[in-house]
Amino acid sequence: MKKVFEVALGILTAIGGFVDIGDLVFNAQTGARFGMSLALVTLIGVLGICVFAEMSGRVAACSGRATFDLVRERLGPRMGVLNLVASVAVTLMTFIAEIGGVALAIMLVTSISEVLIVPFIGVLVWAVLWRAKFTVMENVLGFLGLGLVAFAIALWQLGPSWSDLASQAATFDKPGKEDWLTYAYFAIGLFGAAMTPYEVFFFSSGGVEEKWTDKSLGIMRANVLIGFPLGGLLSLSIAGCAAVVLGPLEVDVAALSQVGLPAAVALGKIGLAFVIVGFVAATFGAACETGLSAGYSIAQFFGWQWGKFVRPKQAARFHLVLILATLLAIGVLMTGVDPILVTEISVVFSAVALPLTYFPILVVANDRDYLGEHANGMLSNTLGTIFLVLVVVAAVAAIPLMVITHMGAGV
Amino acid sequence: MAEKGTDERRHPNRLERPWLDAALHLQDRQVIDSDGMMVCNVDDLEITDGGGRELAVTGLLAGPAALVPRLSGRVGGWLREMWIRLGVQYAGRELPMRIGLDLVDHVGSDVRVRVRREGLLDRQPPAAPGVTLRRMDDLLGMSVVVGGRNVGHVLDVRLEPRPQESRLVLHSLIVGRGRPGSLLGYDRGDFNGPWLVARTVEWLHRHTGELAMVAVTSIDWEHDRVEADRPPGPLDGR
Amino acid sequence: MGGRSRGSTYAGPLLALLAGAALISGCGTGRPSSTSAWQSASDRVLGTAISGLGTARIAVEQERRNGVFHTYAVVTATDAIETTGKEISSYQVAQPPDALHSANAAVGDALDEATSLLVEVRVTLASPGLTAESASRLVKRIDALRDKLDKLDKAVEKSPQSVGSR
Repeated sequence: MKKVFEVALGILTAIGGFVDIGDLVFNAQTGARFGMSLALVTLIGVLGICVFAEMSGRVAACSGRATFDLVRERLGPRMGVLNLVASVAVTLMTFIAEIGGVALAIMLVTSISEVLIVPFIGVLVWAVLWRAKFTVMENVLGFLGLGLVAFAIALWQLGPSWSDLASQAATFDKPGKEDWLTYAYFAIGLFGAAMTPYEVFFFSSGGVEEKWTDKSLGIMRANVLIGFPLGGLLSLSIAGCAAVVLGPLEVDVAALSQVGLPAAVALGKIGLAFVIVGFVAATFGAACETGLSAGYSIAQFFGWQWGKFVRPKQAARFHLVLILATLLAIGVLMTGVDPILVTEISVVFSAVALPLTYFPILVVANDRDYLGEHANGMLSNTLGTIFLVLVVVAAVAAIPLMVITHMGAGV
Repeated sequence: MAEKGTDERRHPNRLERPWLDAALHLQDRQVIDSDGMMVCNVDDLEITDGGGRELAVTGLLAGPAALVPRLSGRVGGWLREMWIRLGVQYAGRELPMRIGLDLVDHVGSDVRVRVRREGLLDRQPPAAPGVTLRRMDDLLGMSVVVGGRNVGHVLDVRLEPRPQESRLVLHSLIVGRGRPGSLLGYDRGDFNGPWLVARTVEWLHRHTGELAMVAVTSIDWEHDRVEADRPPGPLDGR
Repeated sequence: MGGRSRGSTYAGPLLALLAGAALISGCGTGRPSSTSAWQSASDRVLGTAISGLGTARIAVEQERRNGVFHTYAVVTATDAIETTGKEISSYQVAQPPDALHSANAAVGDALDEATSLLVEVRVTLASPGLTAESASRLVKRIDALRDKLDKLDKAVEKSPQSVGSR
């Protein structure tokens, strides 16, 4: 049983990266509009995040240095600060959105206005970040988040024409009514969502929290190979469900309530209940992941003590950052801003942060000062280089595409 | 946290090697105390100049007063002004915190000190008579001139540990085009991947060489200029 | 290098100001848009209305066969109204091209119809006792309106001048 819980870090990281509030909506939107024609992008994104999460996890396990340490150490303070600003902006925006997302998910069954419950959720998230043990947080949220597996079951229950879905996924084509630029925007959005920088910040720092050593490399790889593909599977199931149920009705997904409808159609109330529990856990988990990641990256940049593996008193500045982040999130959400819109804007910042995060990981993963005999082999280096190029292309193209396509609304 | 059985064998102490690089191995590394707690980042290095001895690194510098000037350019200058303006009433606003090299016992993927972090950081004390304290970041990036011809910038500074004296003597300058830190460690020669990055760095730094400190005739700290009597030799990645 | 500021310049703030001014001047709401811009805006807003109606349809059907929690169905319908409403109001503040005033009015009428049907769906869902009969009547009306909007959308794309000139 202990072995089962050892992969919780990977699952929580992946849930935060693949099915947070923005991704839930984005995946469903993609499915409804493009069918499964973008599935390949998700699969490529899963492979990419696996490659880099494995590298950053390996560095963390062998040297105790988490990702933002590497960013500043290899790129120097100037590029480091640029990445810090961009990454913290993405991470905080996502953090804000996630707290709003928990409120949206709770609203689905209580219909209390989200503005009213946001402060309570904010305080609850902060309490978890402050008090809860890292492993407890990971296990509870990771496993409740598995409620989203209901989407996979729903898709199977819906009994779509599998060969149809597969051929959509395998061919490089788009539905006739969409244009190629919008298709490209969605492709980059999916790829960027799969590879958001806070996933590696959280995963590598989480490895340090769990006191990984070079003997933990097996556990670390199990985390990567189970967690991220599971996240990818969940996001594909959501897209698939939306493609089957919402696509024919030309529903353009913009709200969380629409995302859950296919599960209700296929499985009724029980399926919907699982999905809602999954929504709450996934957004709550993503809130914890992004909140901690913001704290991790700032503390690591300045060299402050961080982490939940020491008492809060011993990492006072780190916890101060978490408090400030929570207050900021509550304040922003009280203005009534749409959380889903907030995550879409954060794409702009991740465009800057992606290459500046993955490049130093790739370089340091070759450095024997850090890794000794566990330095990158041929496979990691080849895949790492390919994905670095892809990340740069995505980063360059993201902003122009967002402007041209009005955030995916169409040219 | 920091204690790992095979740690020493796998992560050799750079202080026990013949040389280490200032920008690559020391600047921007995490400082860890004797309990494994994090202290600060190495924001800059203190260079002792004068007193009848060769230039040497004698301390680690930390804190905003050391970090902010390194974010140079307009933003850095502005930040530095703001930092001072926010506390005009405090003395020594420009003085960074310092950790003497005598307290450092390991340089690897992090820098470890042999004491606990409580009360460790104190302001950099004034220099002894006849000695000037410089900062590594001022030396990095200086133009190197040989016989009136500019041959490049100081990209890194190779240091030779003298553990008994708690000093890291400046052994040679890595001189080339580009910015300090842009070698990314590929000059060290003990790692060489991934292929594309390594080749690109190698190509960008095809003119980069090593200039022994004995060849340096003068360092003009005011005008960021190093004069040498011979051009840099080939880079020796040992 | 060096890190010392060499006197402050005003270039940065000035550029930002200019950029800001350029942005604002490009966003005037008084001037009529081009035909193609009107077409794509109309296409977008009609698409949103069709999508909102589709969402409402699923909510009604699932409520009827007891497939969703009652609150969930109501929230879904509320969300559909909000999303559609937002899109409609931003459509309505834009000035149509001079030749397309009647077309614009036709689209506007259709959107009003969609909004009121969505509101009706929400009210019906929120009040107790949705019978199978009333549900299927609602679904039929939704489908009819979706059809109408779809046709309107096609007309807008093909020959905007003909829209509303019956």
